[in-house]
Amino acid sequence: MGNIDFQQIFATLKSGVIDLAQKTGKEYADQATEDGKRILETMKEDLALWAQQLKNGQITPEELEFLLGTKEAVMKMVALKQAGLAQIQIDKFKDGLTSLITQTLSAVI
Amino acid sequence: MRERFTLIRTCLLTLLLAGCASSMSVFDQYAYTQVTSVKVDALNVIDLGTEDYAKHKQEADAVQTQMQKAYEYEKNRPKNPITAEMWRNMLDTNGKLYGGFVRFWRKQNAAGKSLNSAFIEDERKQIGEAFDQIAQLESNKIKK
Repeated sequence: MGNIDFQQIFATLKSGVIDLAQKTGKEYADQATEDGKRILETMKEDLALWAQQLKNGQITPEELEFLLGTKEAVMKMVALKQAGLAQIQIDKFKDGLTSLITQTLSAVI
Repeated sequence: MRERFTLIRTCLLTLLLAGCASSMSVFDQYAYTQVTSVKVDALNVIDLGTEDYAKHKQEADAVQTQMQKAYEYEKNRPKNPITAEMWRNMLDTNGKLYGGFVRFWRKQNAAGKSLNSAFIEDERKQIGEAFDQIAQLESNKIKK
């Protein structure tokens, strides 16, 4: 093995890891933010619609209660999906880290 | 020399950590096809909700069976507890998704009440969104 600049390798790896973490985190954050905004928006619209439908006699109080329960169940499904997406991002980060180290070391050794 | 040892040790540890098996199951085309297919059938049954439950019990049960099969498949895939939990929620007759909807339909009819079309439309939209969460999680899984 010839002269290897370990400080340089560390610096390259560090910068690569930071880029990878930011990219992975941003992808997840963007998805989660989009989901959050959409949920709030649809919740607002749905509640207004259901209140009006109840007032007009288009739905019964029992149906309204069921709809509210379904809304809560859907939010739980969204939360489960987000938990799954977070795990997937960790897996992607781990895969990316393996590639980064392999590529960085292959380039200098 | 010390720096070299530290670098190799750090890299090996990192590779070991990164090489550890994924924490989540990988993408499964069959699972994805299954959720999108069951969604269509389930929403078609929900559309019948303004009519008598007794008249459509067979269709409602058939979808329930399809969903039970999907749940069993997901439950037995390794590292897949989240998707399995999502299917369990869809099936739960004490919940407020498909299983709960069918129970509500049956109970309302048994009490001499029929479901309103506006309710069916609202419920269809929400349960469709619940199915979409399962499909979106599956489609985001790592493809290997």
